[in-house]
Amino acid sequence: MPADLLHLEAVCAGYGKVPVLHDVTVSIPRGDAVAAIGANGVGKTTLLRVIMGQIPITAGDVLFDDVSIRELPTSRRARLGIGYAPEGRALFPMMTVRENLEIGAYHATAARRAARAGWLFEVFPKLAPLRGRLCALLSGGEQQMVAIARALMNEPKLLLLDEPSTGLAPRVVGELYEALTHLHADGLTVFVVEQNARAALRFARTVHVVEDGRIARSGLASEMLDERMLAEAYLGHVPEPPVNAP
Amino acid sequence: MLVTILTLALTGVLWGGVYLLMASGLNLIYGVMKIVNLAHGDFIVVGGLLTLTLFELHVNPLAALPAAALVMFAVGALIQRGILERLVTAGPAGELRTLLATFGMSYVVSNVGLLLWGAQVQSVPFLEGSVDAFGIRLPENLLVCSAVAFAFAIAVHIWLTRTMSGKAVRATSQSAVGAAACGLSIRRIRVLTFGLGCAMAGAAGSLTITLIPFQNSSGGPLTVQAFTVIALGGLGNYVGAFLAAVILGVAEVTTSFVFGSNAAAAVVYILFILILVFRPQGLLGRSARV
Repeated sequence: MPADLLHLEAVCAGYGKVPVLHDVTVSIPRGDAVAAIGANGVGKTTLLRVIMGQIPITAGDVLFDDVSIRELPTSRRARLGIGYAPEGRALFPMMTVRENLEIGAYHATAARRAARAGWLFEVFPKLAPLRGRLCALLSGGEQQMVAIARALMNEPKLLLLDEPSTGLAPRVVGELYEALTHLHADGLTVFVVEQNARAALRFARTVHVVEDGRIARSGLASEMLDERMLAEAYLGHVPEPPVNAP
Repeated sequence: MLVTILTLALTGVLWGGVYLLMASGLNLIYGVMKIVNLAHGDFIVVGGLLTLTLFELHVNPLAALPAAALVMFAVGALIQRGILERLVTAGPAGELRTLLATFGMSYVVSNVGLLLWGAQVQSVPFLEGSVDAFGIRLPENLLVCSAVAFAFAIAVHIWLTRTMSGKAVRATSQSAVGAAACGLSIRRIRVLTFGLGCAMAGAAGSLTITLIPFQNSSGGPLTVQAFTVIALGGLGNYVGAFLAAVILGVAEVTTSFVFGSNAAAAVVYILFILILVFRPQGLLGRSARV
């Protein structure tokens, strides 16, 4: 069994003629919790879109379970075992919570879908009483839980999360990451991209800092949980304070 | 007086059933793919003319309906797979390309109809008697066709809301990105949807040719009629389309009774303009969209 569940090798990608990712190499070890942090517009979402095949890569390769998935459409990648909660959640707003989850395991049997949904209502107990409610009527935090739960319906090997904390109150972000921590502890491999670096650093074991479409730095989250390095990730170089500063 | 009003209302509702089926295919295609199929009326005409051919081979029009629907499903699936799928791109550019493609397709289908069936006006005689109850007289063919049309449209609605494949179609209409992330093949769903929309057009044509005569060039007005129903109901909205079809049916029948059949034909266009000016989002807008 390969150690890396997902491996991006020297990937270049962009939108039309506008390059966004340059020579990006990232590995997601099996069972790890990995985060990519960085300021807005540096290519974090593009990184996930490349993994899901939503935009083509111009160079490099994407390996999942040691097999190239470069030419596969998004739907095939999902069926291989990549769960994806995209930016903006991409829920089905005029369908109920239960229906959203059912679609998440479209290819499973009805019994399997029901069992999986039942388990996810235990993981996200707030969703259980809302199962018959249209997703359009849920709060931002509830919608984010549905997006993650839907991505988990198909029993993925890897869960990709794009900015799960965006627009959520700090308390809700805490609840969300608590649930993710439990899922990761049960063996799920998670790759999260976040602007909320603090939340991502507390959750992940390994962190990649993205700057201008490149991986500027990689390391252990425990080592990066340092205010100065966080500031560098967002603001670029932070000058040393003058020696005789008060 | 009461009998006259009831007769007009019931006749209008029955026509509403036929209009609902005519519009449902267009509504389904727009709802899922955001394609305004300007050839929809021409597919209705071809469905009717296929029924005519089968009728000439002594096949009952109701028995011809599934055959017409099946042929139109295959035609629609091939068009989607071979032409429209290549034009679908994100955003307004894709919508404009597919609009122009279906506009051109309308001419192609109409002229193929001209080659195969000629330019003459044609109809299929079917159940030419009437049913009389409490002084209300209703044409038998309209009663049967409306019942079949309502049943067909309701069956599609049940399929969309109760089955996993139908839910997948609805999911794709609401978020193609989300649907693909769930492992759904968007391309297959688009082929299924366009095929099904065309099958509904074919079925509507099968029924309509027993009520009003067709010729190869009847497609344009039928497209406008179907489009009026979905614009009035709210684009992509099935409950709205149901209400709109009944309103259009009653308005046409009442106008025809009061001002004559020529005025009734104008009702569709007047209603269409009024919707665009005063309520472009339709009766139910997007609020109850499936």
